[in-house]
Amino acid sequence: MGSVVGGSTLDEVEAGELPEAVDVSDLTPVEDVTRQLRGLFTGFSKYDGTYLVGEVGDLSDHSENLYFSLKATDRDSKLNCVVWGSRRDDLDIEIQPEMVVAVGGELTFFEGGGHPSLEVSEAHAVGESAYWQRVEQLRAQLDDDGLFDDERKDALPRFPETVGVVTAAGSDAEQDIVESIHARYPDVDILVHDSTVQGSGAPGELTAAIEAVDESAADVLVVARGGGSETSLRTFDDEAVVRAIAGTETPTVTAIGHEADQPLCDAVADERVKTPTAAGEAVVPEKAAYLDHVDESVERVRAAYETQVYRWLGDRREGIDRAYRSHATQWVDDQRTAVDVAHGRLAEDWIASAERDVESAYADIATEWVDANRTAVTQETERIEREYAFEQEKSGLERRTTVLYVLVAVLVALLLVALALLLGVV
Amino acid sequence: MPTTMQDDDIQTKIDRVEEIRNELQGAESMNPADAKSLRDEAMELLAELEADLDVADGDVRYRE
Repeated sequence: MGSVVGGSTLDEVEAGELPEAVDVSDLTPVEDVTRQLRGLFTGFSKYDGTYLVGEVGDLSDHSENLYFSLKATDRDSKLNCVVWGSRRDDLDIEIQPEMVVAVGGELTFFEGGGHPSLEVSEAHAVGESAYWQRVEQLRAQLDDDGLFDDERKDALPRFPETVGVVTAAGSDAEQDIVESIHARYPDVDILVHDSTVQGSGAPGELTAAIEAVDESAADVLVVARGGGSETSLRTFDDEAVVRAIAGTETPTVTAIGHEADQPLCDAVADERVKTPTAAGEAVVPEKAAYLDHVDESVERVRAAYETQVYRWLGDRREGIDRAYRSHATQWVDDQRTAVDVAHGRLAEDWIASAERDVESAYADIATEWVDANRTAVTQETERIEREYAFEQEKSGLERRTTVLYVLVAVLVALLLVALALLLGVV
Repeated sequence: MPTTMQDDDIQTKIDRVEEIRNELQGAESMNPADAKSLRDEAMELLAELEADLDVADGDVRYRE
């Protein structure tokens, strides 16, 4: 072992602290080892020009540099890797956890960490990861092309006469779609275009089938397959199939796999449903509900009409009754007034006539009576006149008698006065 | 192609029937002749609507 001079970890060691059998010259500071290990790695050319394949783990993206482990997939073995910040933009892929990658770079020993480290300068996705990498690249391309834009998506027709279906004829998916459509709308026509939905020939067949149905009389197109393994659904990530769906004039619904599966076709279709069974609900309404609505509308319109007519008739009946009563009342009042007037006139005439009759009768009776009593009246008059004359005469006589008595009294009084005077004188 | 002609036709009829129903239900008072005219129009539309809802024959056809 080499000796160590100043600035070494050995400076921390006191000779007396060591066992007797150990001499200071037997000690080697750790930095010597790591430095020599690093030297061993420097220029180590065994893996130059090769790519190390492994699964990404322990990904740390919290600093400028990217740290991860390249792990073996079936055993406990890994190599630490680093992508220096200055090189991150040079990589073709964005390294993700669990991605299987082939990386190239320089194998070194990281003294600070005490472990070998691969300074990565190249990285490529491989295997499943490569597939998904391509899918993501295609997704980005399609997005750039505007195929995911909501503005280009069509609304589905509410009452299609014909539903086109592209799927494997005789499959569960076909049966589910036909049943779900006819359960909701029994008289919709369904045009099924058979196509292989997996395997190398599937993209071509699917594309042709989609274009054929698009040119048919179908009002809406359903592209479907039942659930399957992730790899069996890859046909629906195929660029030709995706672009065929995006390019249809006919509104399109995808019904591919199960809920967790989201192939690229779903992203460009006008509508996506989770399963073929759900396709019916997406493409046709429930006819029975519309027929119920029609029946209900018939009843409501009829009821509203009858209410309106009865209300109008009621209003008119009331108006007529009111007008009749008003008229009758007015008529009665008029008649009463007329009768009063007539009665008054008749009464006055009758009274006048009666008065004339009475006066006439009275005059007649009086005349007759006068004639009949004229003599008696004359006699009575004469008697009265005589009695009146007698009374006049009697009255005159009584006045004269009274005057006489007064004169006598005055005379007597004078005599008495005279007598008194005489006596007095005497 | 957002909707089919059939869609437009059916929706137009549904809307008109709703309009008539609201008019009949909402009017304070309406001449029976006008009410009858509206009712007849609604009934005719509903009959047409019922026929329109029979969109096809329910056939399932296959193409290879």
